[in-house]
Amino acid sequence: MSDPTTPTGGRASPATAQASAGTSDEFLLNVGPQHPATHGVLRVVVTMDGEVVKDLQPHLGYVHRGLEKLFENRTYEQIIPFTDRTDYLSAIANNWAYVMAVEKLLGMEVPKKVEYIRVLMAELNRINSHLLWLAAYGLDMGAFTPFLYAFRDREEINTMIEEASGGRLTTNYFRIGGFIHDLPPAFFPRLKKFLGRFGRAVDELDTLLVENAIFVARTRGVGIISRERAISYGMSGPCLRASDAPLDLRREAPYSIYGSLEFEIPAGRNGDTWDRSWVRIEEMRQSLRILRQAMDGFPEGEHRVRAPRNIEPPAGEVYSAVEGPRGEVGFYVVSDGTRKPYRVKMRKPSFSNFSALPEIMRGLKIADLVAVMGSLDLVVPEIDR
Amino acid sequence: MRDTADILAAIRSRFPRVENRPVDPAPSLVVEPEKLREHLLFLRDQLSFHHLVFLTALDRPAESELELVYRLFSYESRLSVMVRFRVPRDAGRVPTVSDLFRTAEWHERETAELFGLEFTGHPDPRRLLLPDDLEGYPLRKDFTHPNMPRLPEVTST
Amino acid sequence: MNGVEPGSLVLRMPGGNVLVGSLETAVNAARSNSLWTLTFGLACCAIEMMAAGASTYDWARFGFEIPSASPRRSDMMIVAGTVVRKMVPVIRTLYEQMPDPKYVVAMGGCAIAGGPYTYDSYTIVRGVSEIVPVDIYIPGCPPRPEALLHGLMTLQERIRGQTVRK
Repeated sequence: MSDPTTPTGGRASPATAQASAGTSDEFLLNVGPQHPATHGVLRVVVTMDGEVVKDLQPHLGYVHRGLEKLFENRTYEQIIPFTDRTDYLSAIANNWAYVMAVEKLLGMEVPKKVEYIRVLMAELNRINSHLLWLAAYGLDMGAFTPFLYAFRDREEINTMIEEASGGRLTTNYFRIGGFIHDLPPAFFPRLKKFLGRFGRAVDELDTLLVENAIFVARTRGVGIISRERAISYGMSGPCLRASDAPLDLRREAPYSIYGSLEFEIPAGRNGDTWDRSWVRIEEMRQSLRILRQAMDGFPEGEHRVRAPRNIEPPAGEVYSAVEGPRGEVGFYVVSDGTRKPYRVKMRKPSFSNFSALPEIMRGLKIADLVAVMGSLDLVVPEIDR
Repeated sequence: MRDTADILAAIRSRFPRVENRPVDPAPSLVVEPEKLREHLLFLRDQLSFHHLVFLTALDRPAESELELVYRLFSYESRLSVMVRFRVPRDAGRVPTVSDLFRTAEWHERETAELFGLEFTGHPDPRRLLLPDDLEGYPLRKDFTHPNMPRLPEVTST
Repeated sequence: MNGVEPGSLVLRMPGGNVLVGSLETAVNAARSNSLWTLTFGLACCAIEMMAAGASTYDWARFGFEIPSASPRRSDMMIVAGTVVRKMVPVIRTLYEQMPDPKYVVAMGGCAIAGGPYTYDSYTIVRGVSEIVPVDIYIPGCPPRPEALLHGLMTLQERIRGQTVRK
């Protein structure tokens, strides 16, 4: 618990620590909120006995902006840009989950073309997010080259997304009912070129990092969580699939056109850190498959439905979730019939994934902390909202 | 593996008050707060709703109540259910389910600090997201804070 | 002067050339071309900061090669992302731990003035300039990597205009 009366709110004081630091060999180590490997403003206070982690206390709230309160005073359309900024690496997935929720409340069906564009964007976003995960994870583990290679590939995808939406990162692209503009004419030629090249790039990144002997030694057998415990912690996405649980919302609760697309759900066997990394590499390959199918089957049609000028859904509530790069991203929207929602609850995957960290880390060495935290692929603003 | 009709029948037999909300196809099961743990245990063990998707609250100031909402999903049957009930707005107490679903530990901490509830039996009822010096319960409808200038209202469409 | 063309810094002498200039020019050139950045990404802007440091944009060309995790040896803090009340003592401590001369760059709307959360947020700090003195403001949400590079080059020009007795 941070003590606001001390000038360094970031340092743990023994009086407020929950751990039993009474034994002479145990000590507390404060990691964060400013730390190169915490992927944002995460703070964990680790109770250690020598190098072994006995307990781990996360401290959150360092980027809590009070978004759910803010949403209650915004119209439904005004909320869309905020959804990008909770998990900025999967901005498209966040947009989609929210927009889908509002469309369900309105009883709005979108044209097939809109669904195809949404799938294309979402899968590009998935690859983008996994590339950044790989870059940052490599950097944490001491590998600089994957960082540069992954960012080079990210720039190609960013160009495609930027030409369509106007934004590289926080895209604010989806609208209730479709899109403002159709895809630009340069999109498909770029996508074709990208698809031709990226398969080899994934293999390259795979051999550079995930198949690298040092990486394997640091991650194999480290940070195991079983399938039952993972589901109990509400984990989803690659973190869950690594524990021998091929569960993906695109199969379990299909939305949009995923029911008609062919792709596999990669699942790890042991639930360790290496499996979580391997699952993400495989997902990039499966996303390429989905992109090809969506590109080949791309229909003609309208890129939007004419939505009413004022979005005023009838009173009701809905929960709508998509499979984002980190897991299940869901929006629970309660409408009271006015232009502003009554309540918006954001269900974010990193919140649940992170809650499993104390259990995973107990008994491991402190050097494994960075490996395990990186493999959970956390984005802190989505934990704090 | 039971199919969805079986699951729904089992739910209806055990939960007398089942509401179907418009729009969201998941049935809402209304329970008494004291029976919450028993019902969630039934859903988890008998009907394999292992995944607690989220739990949150809604502020109902008109009735001076807080409405608790839980959503569960079953990977086996691919069904969702929601469980809901109301507690008084002042000094509301809800039994914890953090030992049944480990994810509830953090969800309950967050709901407690944002709405002003107590989850009895919670292993670690500290603040999660809010700074320590913030007073009040932010997600209640009557919450104001000196640091919170309201967005200027724009009346044109 | 012997061998010096008017307007040049180079004095030609037998056996080699000699650079002539003021002490301030030399010190400022060294400072501005080797700024060590404190890695302080808070939210979305951090990703564009990373992109500015990676391939395609590459701020290493301008001298920002070394990211320093410790404030004790960094010259510059780029506050990239939203600042909330709970983070205020942390930012203040980090700023005080940095040795002089130090510079603060506020990157992105949130660090400049609270960003999109300026209204209706009960925890936001409306700009990091409420906590630490800021030298450069880079608008955008998030600013493109080119905008960040432009801001950093502006900072470099500023440094070159400083006196040594700062």
